[in-house]
Amino acid sequence: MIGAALDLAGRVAARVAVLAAVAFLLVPLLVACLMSFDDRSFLGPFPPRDFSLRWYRAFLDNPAYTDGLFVSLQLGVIAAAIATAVGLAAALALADPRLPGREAMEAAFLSPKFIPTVVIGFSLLVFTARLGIYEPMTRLILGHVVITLPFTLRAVAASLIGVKRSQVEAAMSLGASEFRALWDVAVPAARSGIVAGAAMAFVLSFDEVAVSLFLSDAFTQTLPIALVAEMRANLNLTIAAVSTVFLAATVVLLVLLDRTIGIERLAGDVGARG
Amino acid sequence: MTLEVQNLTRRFGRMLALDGASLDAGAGEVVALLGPSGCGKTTTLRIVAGFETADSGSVWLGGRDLSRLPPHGRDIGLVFQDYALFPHMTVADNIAYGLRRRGRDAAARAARVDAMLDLVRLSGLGARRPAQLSGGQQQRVAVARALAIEPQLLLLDEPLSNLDAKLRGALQAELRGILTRIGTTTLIVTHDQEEAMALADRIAIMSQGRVLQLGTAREVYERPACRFVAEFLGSALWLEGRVEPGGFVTARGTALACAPPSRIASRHGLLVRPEALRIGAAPEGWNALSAQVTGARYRGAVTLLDLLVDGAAPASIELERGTSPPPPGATLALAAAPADCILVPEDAGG
Repeated sequence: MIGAALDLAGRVAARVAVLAAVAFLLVPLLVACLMSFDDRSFLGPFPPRDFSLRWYRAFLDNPAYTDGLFVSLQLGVIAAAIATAVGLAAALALADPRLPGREAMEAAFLSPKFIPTVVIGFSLLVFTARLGIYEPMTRLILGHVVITLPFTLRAVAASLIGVKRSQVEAAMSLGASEFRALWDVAVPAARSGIVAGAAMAFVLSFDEVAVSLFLSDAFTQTLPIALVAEMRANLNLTIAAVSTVFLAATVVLLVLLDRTIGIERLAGDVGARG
Repeated sequence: MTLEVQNLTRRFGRMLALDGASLDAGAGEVVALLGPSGCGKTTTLRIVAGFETADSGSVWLGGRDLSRLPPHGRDIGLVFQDYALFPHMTVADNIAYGLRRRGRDAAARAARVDAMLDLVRLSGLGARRPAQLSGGQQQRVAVARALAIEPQLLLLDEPLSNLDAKLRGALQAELRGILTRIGTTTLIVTHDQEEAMALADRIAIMSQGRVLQLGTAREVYERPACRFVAEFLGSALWLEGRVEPGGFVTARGTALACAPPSRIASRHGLLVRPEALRIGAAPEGWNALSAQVTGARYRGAVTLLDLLVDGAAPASIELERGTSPPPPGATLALAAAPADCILVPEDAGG
């Protein structure tokens, strides 16, 4: 009797804990979302009494934000494209078990995941200066490729697990060069990984603050950098509006990916394809 | 096209995978490379296909040295053990892949695909995906894809090992029919002797990186070149002893009449195939052997009697239908005709 009661109590406690964790994750997002529609001109207490789109208009009227949005979009697309192409090439090369030094190379490719982004940002700032690269967009693209590459590589590599070496060799025996065989056999199988990797790279690049902070200048700022700068200068609810736009864009992207390739694949849990 | 494989050696780290393997196949001939796992047969196949390089030795196809050609320049059709069909392409696109790489136009490709589907009796299935086919059908698509490019040599890697036993028999006949009709020189790698005998004109028996014997199924079974070949194929009663004038004396001192050896070697053993052994007293001119019963195994169609012959050599013989097996420990008299007692060298020559 006591054992059963304890069992029940344990299960109830576990459920409460899960609900609390979910609430902890979602409630702040909802608060920010609701505040962004507040009609008050000052940062008032929650909840708002009247609603309007005034902060969204403020967002669109502020050139610091709109320029930032444009820079971020451009940067995200270019960095994601480069990181995906490089990640694909690297994953294909690393998929060959006979490649000498394979594990060391894989570790090198994945290392940006574990190095603090502040360190990466500072290192790249010094490095690009030494190379004579001062154009902020080029610097930003470089930095964002470095931090998103581990994710595209992993996503593509996971989807290549289902490709058997014998399929690539079959294509070669039928007259395809090794590159051609990989292109015809491995790349189609990795399509979901490529899409997932590119999407993840774009989202990561769009969110990135630390590396961008080092590599941008006063005239070329990403949206998150512009947000931080504005927040310091005058704290108002435009930030809530921008956050909501950010959130909506991410949700839309995730739903689209789920519809096309499935969310499990996006998370990297890719099974073998038959 | 004739295939000549000469003296291949290949070392993987400390392991000597190939130790001077040689074999040949005449134009249109089907040769099976048969041996236990790890004997080097797959390495040989991969070297011929170009996916592996030999440390020394050479591969010639129709008088052309293949050693420096990449896999895609060799004109060799390859059927993989797992078929390696392209899952994202239809059956027709799989078969047409090699033709596409060769720049054939759409009409020529379509005609060839139809002819190949016809050859492997899969007409009408061109629009299917490989995953929608049975294992046997996938296997035939793999054969059709390899043959579509009109290769100078066809390589089959364990072609039927992924199929269940029932299907295997039917597909063996089917595959043999296809190979006869196309007349392409073919090398089959297999560990299954029944498959080798059913499909090949000649069989190369391989062990420890060397080809021990290359001959027809009858030659390798009835006149094995060494003990390994004798014991690897079918079942064998192997008696140790020495060659004497006019016959053979076992380690136990039993004198047996037999034909003189085909090859002079330092040591010989005597091979008797169990199906040549009779239970009962030896007729005039036959060899008599004594055996102890060690057990009996009921196998449905046959019952196998396990024996220890001449005190030392294990053998299993089929019991006649309707007879009950003698109890373990019983002593039996066995008889074998001298023509069925074959002197075989202990070690491979050369």
